[in-house]
Amino acid sequence: MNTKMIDVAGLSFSYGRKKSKVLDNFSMSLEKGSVYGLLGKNGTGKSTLLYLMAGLLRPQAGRVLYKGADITKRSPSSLQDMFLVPEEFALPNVSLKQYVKLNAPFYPHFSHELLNACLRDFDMNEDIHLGELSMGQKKKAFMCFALATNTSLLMMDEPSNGLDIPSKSQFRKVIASGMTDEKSVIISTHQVRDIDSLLDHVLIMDGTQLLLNQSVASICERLYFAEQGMNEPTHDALYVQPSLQGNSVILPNTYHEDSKLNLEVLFNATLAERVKIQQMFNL
Amino acid sequence: MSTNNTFSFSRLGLVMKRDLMENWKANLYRFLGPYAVFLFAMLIGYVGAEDMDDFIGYSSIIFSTFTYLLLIGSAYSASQIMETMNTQQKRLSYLMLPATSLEKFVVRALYVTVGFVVMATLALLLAEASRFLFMPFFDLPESFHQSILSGVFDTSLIDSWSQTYVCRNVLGALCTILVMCWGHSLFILGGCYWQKHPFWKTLGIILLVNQLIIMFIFFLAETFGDIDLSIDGEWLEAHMAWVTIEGVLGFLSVLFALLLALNWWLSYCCFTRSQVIKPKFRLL
Repeated sequence: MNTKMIDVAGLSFSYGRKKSKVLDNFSMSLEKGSVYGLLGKNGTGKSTLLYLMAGLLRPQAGRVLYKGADITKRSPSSLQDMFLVPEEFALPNVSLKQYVKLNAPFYPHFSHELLNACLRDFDMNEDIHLGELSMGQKKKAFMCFALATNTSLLMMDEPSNGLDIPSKSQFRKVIASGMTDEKSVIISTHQVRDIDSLLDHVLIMDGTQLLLNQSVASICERLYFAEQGMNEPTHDALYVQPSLQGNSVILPNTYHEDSKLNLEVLFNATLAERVKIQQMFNL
Repeated sequence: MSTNNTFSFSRLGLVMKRDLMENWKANLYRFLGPYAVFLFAMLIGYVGAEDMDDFIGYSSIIFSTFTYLLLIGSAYSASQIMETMNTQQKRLSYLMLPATSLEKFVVRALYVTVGFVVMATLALLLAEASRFLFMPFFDLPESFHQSILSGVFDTSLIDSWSQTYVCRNVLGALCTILVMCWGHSLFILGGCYWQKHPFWKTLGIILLVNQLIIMFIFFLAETFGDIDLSIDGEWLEAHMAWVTIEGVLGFLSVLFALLLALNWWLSYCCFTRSQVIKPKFRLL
């Protein structure tokens, strides 16, 4: 059974002929049924990659196939099966009910039950007027609509930006509750603490390339994340980062022990000790 | 929701409904603008009106207002064809809409052409109805109590053009319409290419090209000043007798129809190639 949802092959992109490439010969594929975390420093091309995967930008070289179809064609069958929640978006000056009435027919699997459940989780209802909401509320309403479209692929760019503290945990809850084996979610963010418990797969980008593309299970199988006191030895550690308790360390998981993925430390380690980390995954 | 990836009328209807409803405020202003212009013209015409002859002049003013508004307004409206894509967020929203590029383009094209004419006509009708409300405030002759619309629409555009241009037959009228549609299509093309201030940019380019053509003609006249460029009637009769007015009009009609089709095709290409972040110095 083919579980591949998106296939990106040899992708190159720049915002002008004389400008440096944002992505260069970039390849990756996304499978069904996973939540992907797309991490990277500012300007490494995370949003650009999402736009390319949605067919909103045209690559200079390479291709993006969504379920086998060329995404640059922007065919309705592909567009009705994916949804992008950008960092900044425009909502019309209408009520949410009206917005749903006008936009839901474009998505054949749209679920009003899912919409209402999500709105309830965010302490909202369908009677709100989109023109009267704060930015955070707009984001919550838009994310509820995005989840309710029930598309196979949901892409989110900095989804937790602008959300208050309770809404961030609600956000994790609604994403987790909306997941099925047929769906995939890609979350591009800097706020790693907001999503680390959600992820099944980690993608770390830097300087036009993908530095790490591993499932959380594979990461935790090979790496051991620990908090150590200031005086504990760190000579075996692949990476050490000072923390409030002492040090956050990443060690080779020699004894196959369980540890909780520390996304922030992993991200910093991948950037600082690229070779060491990649060697752990035989890359 | 249709799964047809080429063209679906049901999806076209959905995109149109979404476009109209979500932009209701802009649509309302687009209706109120012409309405205010018509009502203003109608009320200005009341000042100093004394007899039946004044009503004929009054009808003429309203007809001129309607014609000019249709000409300038349709060019402006055409330049707004991609208004739904004039910011990055709006582009993202419109491009991600699950409909084909053709459906999205047709919706916008219908909106800025047919939609504009419908809105201008409705505005005229409402202004005509509103005009009667203001009549008690003016000392008007009895003739002003009749509807002005019959006068406006009696003086049909074709009749008016026939007095001004070479429109002695159907071919002439067709040629004139095609030239006007071609001019209109330049604004459609400008609207698809430029996202900021497309009307002024297109108008500027048209004026610039006109100016360059005039300068080129002057340059030719100065460079070859000693050559007799005047038309020799005998030579024309001997060599160009086969040329008929119908032939010229037919040729011009075909030429402008092709240019019109080219502009619309380029506009569509421009739309299908649009991206969420517009690259600088983008070519079609």
